[in-house]
Amino acid sequence: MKALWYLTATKLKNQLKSLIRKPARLIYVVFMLAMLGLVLWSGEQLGEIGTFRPMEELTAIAFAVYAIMFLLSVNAGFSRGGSLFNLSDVNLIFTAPIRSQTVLFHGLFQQMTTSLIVGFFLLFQYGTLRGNYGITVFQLIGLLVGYALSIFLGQVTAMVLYAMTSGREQRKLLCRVAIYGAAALFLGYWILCALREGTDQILALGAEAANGSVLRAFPVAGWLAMASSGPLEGSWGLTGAGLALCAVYLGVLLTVIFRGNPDYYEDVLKSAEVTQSAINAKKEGTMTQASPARVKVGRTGLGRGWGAGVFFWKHRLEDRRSKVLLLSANALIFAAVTIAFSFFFSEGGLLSSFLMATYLQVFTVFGGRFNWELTKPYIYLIPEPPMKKLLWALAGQIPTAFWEALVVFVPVGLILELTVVEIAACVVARMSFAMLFTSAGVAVDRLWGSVTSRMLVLVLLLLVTLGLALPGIAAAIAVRILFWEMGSAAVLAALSVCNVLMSLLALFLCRNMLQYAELNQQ
Amino acid sequence: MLNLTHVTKRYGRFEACSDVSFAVEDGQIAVLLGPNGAGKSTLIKCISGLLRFQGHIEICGADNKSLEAKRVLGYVPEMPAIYDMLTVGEHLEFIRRAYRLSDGKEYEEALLERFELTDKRNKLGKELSKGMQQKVSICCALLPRPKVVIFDEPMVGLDPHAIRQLKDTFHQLRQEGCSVLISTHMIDSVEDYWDVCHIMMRGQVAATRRSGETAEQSLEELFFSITEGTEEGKA
Repeated sequence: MKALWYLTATKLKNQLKSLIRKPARLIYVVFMLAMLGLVLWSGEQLGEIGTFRPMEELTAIAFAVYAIMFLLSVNAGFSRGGSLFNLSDVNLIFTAPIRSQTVLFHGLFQQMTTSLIVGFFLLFQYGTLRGNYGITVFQLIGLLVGYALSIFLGQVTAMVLYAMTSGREQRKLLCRVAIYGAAALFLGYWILCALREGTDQILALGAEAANGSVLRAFPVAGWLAMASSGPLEGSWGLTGAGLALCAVYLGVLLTVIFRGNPDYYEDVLKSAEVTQSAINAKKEGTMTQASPARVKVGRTGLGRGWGAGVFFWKHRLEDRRSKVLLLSANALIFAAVTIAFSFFFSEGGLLSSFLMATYLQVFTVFGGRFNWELTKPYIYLIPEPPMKKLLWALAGQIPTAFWEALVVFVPVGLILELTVVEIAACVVARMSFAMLFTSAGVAVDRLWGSVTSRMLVLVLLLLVTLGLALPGIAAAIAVRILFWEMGSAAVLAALSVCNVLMSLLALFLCRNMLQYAELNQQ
Repeated sequence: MLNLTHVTKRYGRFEACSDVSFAVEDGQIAVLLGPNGAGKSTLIKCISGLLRFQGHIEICGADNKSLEAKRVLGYVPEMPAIYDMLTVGEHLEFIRRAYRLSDGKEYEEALLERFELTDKRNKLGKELSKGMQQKVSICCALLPRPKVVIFDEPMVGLDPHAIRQLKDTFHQLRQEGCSVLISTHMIDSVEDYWDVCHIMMRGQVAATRRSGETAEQSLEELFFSITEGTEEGKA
C-alpha cells in the first residue's frame, strides 16, 4: 500500500514540477484558470437579472448527459475492458507483490481523478447555465461530480463486462442486446412521454418524464440524476437515495470482480495496451487519425489527380472511408449537441446557437484531414510548388465544411424559425469560420512550426484564431448597430466576408509554409 | 550526389547538429552511425527538407528545398509513413500521381513483388503490421526512381526475408549509380556493403572512415573505439 501511495504522490509532485520546468504548460494552466475565472465572474453578473427556466429541465439534461457518458464507457467494455490502468501499472504494479484488491482500489482512485479532470470543461458552461437556470458554483460542482461518477461507474461496468464476455461471442451478443435493448426501451418511453401532447409541450413533458420514477430507475444515469436533485432542487433525500444506489451498484461490481475473477489483470490488459500504443504513436509522430474500427474499403483506387491535385482526391477517398453517412462520427455528435442546444435554449436566439456551433466547430476543423496531412512527410517531399500543395490539400475540407454546415444549420434554422436567407447566411458563415480556423492553423505552423510544446501551440493557435476573427466580429457588431433593420443575414454576411478576407490574407502570407515549415509530429 | 556543407540545426539553445559536412558520391553507400541522441535522425530530416537548418545541402547539385532536388530524392522515415485509410495499392498510386510518373505502373508491380506485398494490395494501411507498413514506406520512396535515397533505421521491424530484400535493393541502387545514405543502430546489418561510414556523436561527425581503410577492424569495433573514446576521429 505504501508503494502505491508513494507512486501517486510522486506522480502528482512531478506533474507540479513539470509546470515549472515547462513554462508553456504553466502559461496554459494559468490561461485556462484565468478563462475559468472570467467565465465564473461573468456568469455571476448574468445571474443577477432575469427569470430562470425550470430546474427540472436541467436535471433532465444532466440525466441525458450521464446516460450518454455511461453507455459510451460501457460500450468500450465489450471490445477492450475498462481503462483503469495504464501499461506502466500492468508492467510494474501487477507484477509486484501487492494484493490484487489493493491494486484495484488504486486503479479506481486513478480513474476517479481522470473522470474529474475530463469533466473540467463542464465548468466553462457556467455562464450559460447560470443565465438560463440561475445555478450557483456549488450546484455546478454537483453536476461535475455526477458527470465524473457516470464515467467512473461506466468504466468499472466496462471492466466487469469484459471479464464476463471476453472470448465468449454468444454471451457478448446477449449482454449487448440486453443493455442496448434496455436503453432503447427507456429512450422510447422518454420520447413517448415527451410527445404525449404533440410537439407543443415537448420540452416540459420531456423534463417531467426525466424526473419521473421510470427514468430514475435507469441504472447509474437515473440514480445520478436523482442525486443531483439535492444540490439543484434541495431534495437531499433523493441525493442520499441516488448515491446509495450507486454505492450498492459499485459494491456489487466489485464483488463480481473479486468473487468471479480475482485474477482480473488480464481483463484490463487489452485496454492498457491500446492506450499505450496511442501514447507511443503520438510520441513517435505516427498519430493515427480517429477512424471507425471497421472500415468498408469499397471501390479502390484514387482514379484522379495529378501532381499536387492528388491530395484533394486522396482526402475525398479517405473521407469516404472514415465517415458515417456524410460526416465523421465526431462531427455528427457535435452537430447533434448544437441542434439539442438550439432546441433547449431557443430563447437565446440565433446568436447563442451560432456561438455554440462555432465553439464546437473548432474541434472538427482542427482535427481535420489537413492537420493530419502535415504530420506525414509526403506533403513536404512531393515535388510541386508549395502554394499549390497547400491549396489542394485545403480544398478537401470544403465539401466536408459544406455538408457539416447544412447538417447543423438546417435543423437549427427550423427550430429557431429562421428564414431561408438566414439559414443560407449561417451556412456561409460557418464555412467562413472553417476557412478561418484552418488558416490560423497554417499560420501557426508557418510561424512556430518548430515549437514542440503542445500547450504552447494551443495557446498560439487560440491567440492567432482570435486575432484573425476580430475584424469579422467587429464588422458584425458594426452592421448590427448601424443597419439593425437589415437583420441577422446582413450581420452574418459581414462576418463571412471579413473571415474569408482574413483567411485569404493569412494563406497568402503563409504561401511557402510547406517549404519552410518543419515536420512537427507532436 | 548528396552534399552537406556546415549544416547546423538548433532547437532553441540546444544544438542537435553542429557544423556537419560530408558528401555521398554517386554509386556510393554511406552509413550514418551513432548512439541514441547523436543527431542522426535530425540530420536526415534536414537533408529531406523536413526541418529548417543553417548551412547548405545539395541534392544532385540543387538546393534540397528546390523542386529539382525533391524530384530525385527518396526518403524512408524511421516510423513508416502510412495513411490509415489508403490501401497498399493506393499508396503507390498516390505517389505515382503526385510525382507525375506516367510510366511507373510496371515498376510499382515489381516493387510490390520484391517486398511480397502483391497479395496485400487491397489491405488498408491501418490493417498492416509495422513491418508491412515499413515495406510500403520503402516502396513509396523507391517508386519515383530517386537518385539520392535516405534511409532512417530502415530495418527496424522487418523480417529476415525483407531485410535480405532490402540489402539487395541497396546493392541495386549502388549499381544504378544512386547515392544512398543509411542511418542505423544495427551495425552488423550494414557491415558487408558500406562504402563510407560517418560516426556521429553529440551532433557532430566524430569520425569518417572509408571501406578498406579499416581492414583490421570491424565496423562494430570501430564504432565502439570512437564512441567510447579510444580512438581520435579522422574526419
